[in-house]
Amino acid sequence: MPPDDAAMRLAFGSGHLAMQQRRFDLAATDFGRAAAEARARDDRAAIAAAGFDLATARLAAGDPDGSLRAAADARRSVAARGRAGAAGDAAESAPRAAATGQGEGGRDLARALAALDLVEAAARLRSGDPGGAARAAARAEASDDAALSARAALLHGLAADALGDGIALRRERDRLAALLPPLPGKGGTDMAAGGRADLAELDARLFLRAGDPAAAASKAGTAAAARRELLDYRGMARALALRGTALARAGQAANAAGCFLAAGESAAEQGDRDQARAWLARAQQPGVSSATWEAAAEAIRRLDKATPKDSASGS
Amino acid sequence: MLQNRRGDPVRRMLRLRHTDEWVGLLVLLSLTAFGAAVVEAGVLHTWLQPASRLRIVLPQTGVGGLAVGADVEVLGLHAGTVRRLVLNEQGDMYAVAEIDQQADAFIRHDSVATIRRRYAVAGAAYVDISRGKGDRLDWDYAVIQAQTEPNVVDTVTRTVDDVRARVLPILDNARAMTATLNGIATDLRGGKGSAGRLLTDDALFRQAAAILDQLHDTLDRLRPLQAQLAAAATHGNAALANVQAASADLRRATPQLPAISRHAADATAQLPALLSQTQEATDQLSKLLQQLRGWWLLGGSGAPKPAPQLLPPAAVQP
Repeated sequence: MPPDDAAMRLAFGSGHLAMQQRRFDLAATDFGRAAAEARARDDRAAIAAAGFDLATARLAAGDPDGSLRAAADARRSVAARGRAGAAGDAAESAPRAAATGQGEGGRDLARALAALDLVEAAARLRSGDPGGAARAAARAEASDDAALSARAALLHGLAADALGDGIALRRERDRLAALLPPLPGKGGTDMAAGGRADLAELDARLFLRAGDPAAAASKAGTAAAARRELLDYRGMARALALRGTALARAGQAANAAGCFLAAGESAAEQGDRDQARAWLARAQQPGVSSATWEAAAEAIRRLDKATPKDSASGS
Repeated sequence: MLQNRRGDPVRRMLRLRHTDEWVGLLVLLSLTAFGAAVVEAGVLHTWLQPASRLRIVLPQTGVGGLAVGADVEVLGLHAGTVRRLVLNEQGDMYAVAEIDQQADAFIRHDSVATIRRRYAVAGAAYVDISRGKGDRLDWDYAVIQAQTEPNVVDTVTRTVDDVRARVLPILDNARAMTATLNGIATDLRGGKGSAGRLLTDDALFRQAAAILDQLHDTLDRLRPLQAQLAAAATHGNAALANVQAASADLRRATPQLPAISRHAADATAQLPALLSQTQEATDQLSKLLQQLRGWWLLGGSGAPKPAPQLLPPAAVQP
């Protein structure tokens, strides 16, 4: 067991607590301090882990570009130390690290490098680069960490859906379903619940693509409810918007507007102004009730009045 | 009674016998008193005192009507008379005047004799001598220079000539300017030049009227804003009063600020150490809890795993 570095351990711990409290800027600061301690320790696994945590915190704070920079910096820093996978060839870096790593430290490094691929996929998806996201997610899926691989399958499926690739979407859905442990399962309840919510979202997208909006709306509603229970509000808002799209295609404009209103207000409270504005605008389609219309208009007015800092206070 | 009549003639004869002496004595006394009065009045002194003789050199331009017998005045008082006018071979003219000796003290070397006429432009000529302040004259051969007072008529004539010489060019210029203005007015009336077009073409005036109408509309629209501004000013005054009250409170609190700052600094200096101790205590407590959780008596299963460095994959949100 490696000697304990209290400063680095405290920095990681503070960052994790800040993430649980959705104080993403503070978490990014803590993870930056953890990365500095890891470099001082010359610990590749810790450098990669701190880079992944920092990239995740920045992505949660609404800074996908900063997230990509943090991931690239961590990969470069690990590659510069020359005993693990080279930067720019991260698809092979994680397996090679796992193969060449010595015991627990090697597995930690391989898992951290795969996590860097995972966060890169999410950041590219957020930046509007589904092709890059699909490639990064494919690298992350090679990890032997089931939870990480399942999350990568979700990202790959979302990227495939954005690219209009129904076959890839089906493939990722099946991969995700295969990775999920049975419910209730030993030591993986949260992972199973989150994974089933992800699976429901991918199912909804498949139904929507297959021309069955009613089934899609049902699956999306399931995903939204599960994520509400898991405190995954960003995923919940995405599922609500997906349900709104399905209901709109099913001709239920009023219900669809309600879903978009809920998704938009949730996104606004989480500081995602652009996404919130887009969903709130869809809540003001013809045929919606005046109450929904007024609520959407009021939410947009609050967005216009709030400064970006105020709006992102949750982060 | 008869005796009384005999005694009267005697007394009357006694009285008539000294009458002539008494009358003569009275005449003598009267003559003596008259002589004393004459002497006392200085009449003789005046008669006996000889007059001073003053030669007044007359100007070459003429004597200005001065004649023998003309008065000589000093300080506006009659001081003598011109007795003679002399014209010598060199063409110089002078007048000989007899001056009362009492005026001698006022006539000095710097005195000026001016030949004037009694009524400015008419009347008899006389010599007016100014009071001098220089050296006294040698009255054995006293000479002063005379000048002729400028004739008022000549002065007026010269002034008129001068005014005429100056005014006539001005009138000529005014005449030329009037002609120029007349030409300009003619051009304007004919619509020549920008100003002429301005006068003859009323399009610009129509545009100006339209602008004025727009301005009027703008002012009408601004009128409600003015009321709002007044209301805002009222609110501003109230806010200013609040600020003043806050300033007063702050001023009262200011003396306490140094002590507060000192205490805050002391407390702040202790914060890093306190924070480190708190972190250490929390860390130790966390370790203790993990060990307790892994203790077999509490249902644990051996040594606890170290805290993970990686966030869970679910934290990665697309």
